[in-house]
Amino acid sequence: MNTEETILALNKHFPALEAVSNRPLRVFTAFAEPKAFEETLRYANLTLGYHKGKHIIGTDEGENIGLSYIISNDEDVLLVLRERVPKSAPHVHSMGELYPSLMLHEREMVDLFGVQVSGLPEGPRYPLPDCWPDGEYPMRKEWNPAYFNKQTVTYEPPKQEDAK
Amino acid sequence: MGLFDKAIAWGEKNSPWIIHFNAGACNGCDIEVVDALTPQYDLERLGILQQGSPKHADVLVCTGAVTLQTRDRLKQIYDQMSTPKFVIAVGTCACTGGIFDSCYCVTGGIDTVVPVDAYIPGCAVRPEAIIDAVGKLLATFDQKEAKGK
Repeated sequence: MNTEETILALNKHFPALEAVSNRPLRVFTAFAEPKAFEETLRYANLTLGYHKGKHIIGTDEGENIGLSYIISNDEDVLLVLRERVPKSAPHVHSMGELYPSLMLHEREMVDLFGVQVSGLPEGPRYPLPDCWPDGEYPMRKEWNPAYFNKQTVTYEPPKQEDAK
Repeated sequence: MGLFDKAIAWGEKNSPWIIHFNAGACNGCDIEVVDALTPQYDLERLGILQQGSPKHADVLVCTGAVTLQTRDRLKQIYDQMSTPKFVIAVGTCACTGGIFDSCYCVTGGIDTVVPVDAYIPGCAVRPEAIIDAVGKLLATFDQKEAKGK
């Protein structure tokens, strides 16, 4: 399935996604809610033939965390599907059943952005070191590396009174 | 220095054994270290052999910036080596932390954890630079041996 056919199929079944292509072999979609996103990803895999999981990109957007799943087909078209989860309670379902290769990137989402991924098998911490403190997510914008004490491996932000 | 110590010192100077440790490198410098050891540049012709155990090695060849994950391991390996021991920091990251310095899980260059005797900057280091650094390090062996005793 080439770029144009992918855009036609996606816009027919999921018009809210507004699939577009501004470069050869690339298809981008708008941000979707988690439930609609999973449905789209399943459709892209099972119906459109996008069976290769390439990458997941996380972005801190203030109130939300944006997740861009990049998947591909045998014709090397890269389809970028996006979803947005609230930073206060970020939660997604694992897509490891459809894309086993994305499970590694889902682990990165857990460690670096603090996104809870249900359905992900338990395992060692990745990619942060074993000694990393719980509840600290270095890819979030409010996390300041200047307050991280590497000797004691603790995050010590100044208190409100000190900041004033 | 007794006769036995003199024999050990003579062996170390003429055939230093090295151990290679990747503290968090991108593998670029590791490839160059292997290139320096293998037949094209052939450091082994100078008696420099790579060992798998730190207990058998005289020189610790380190690549990459030190991460929180490898910090304690690097210290353990250094402690296991017998004196006199030497450390070579191979590559810009090993010298100063490079582009990874001040990253949340990087402590900096090798000298933030163990004392370094020779720094080889470069990204990636050329094998000629490694050979040059080893040659200069061998020239300082006598001084370090005197300090180690």
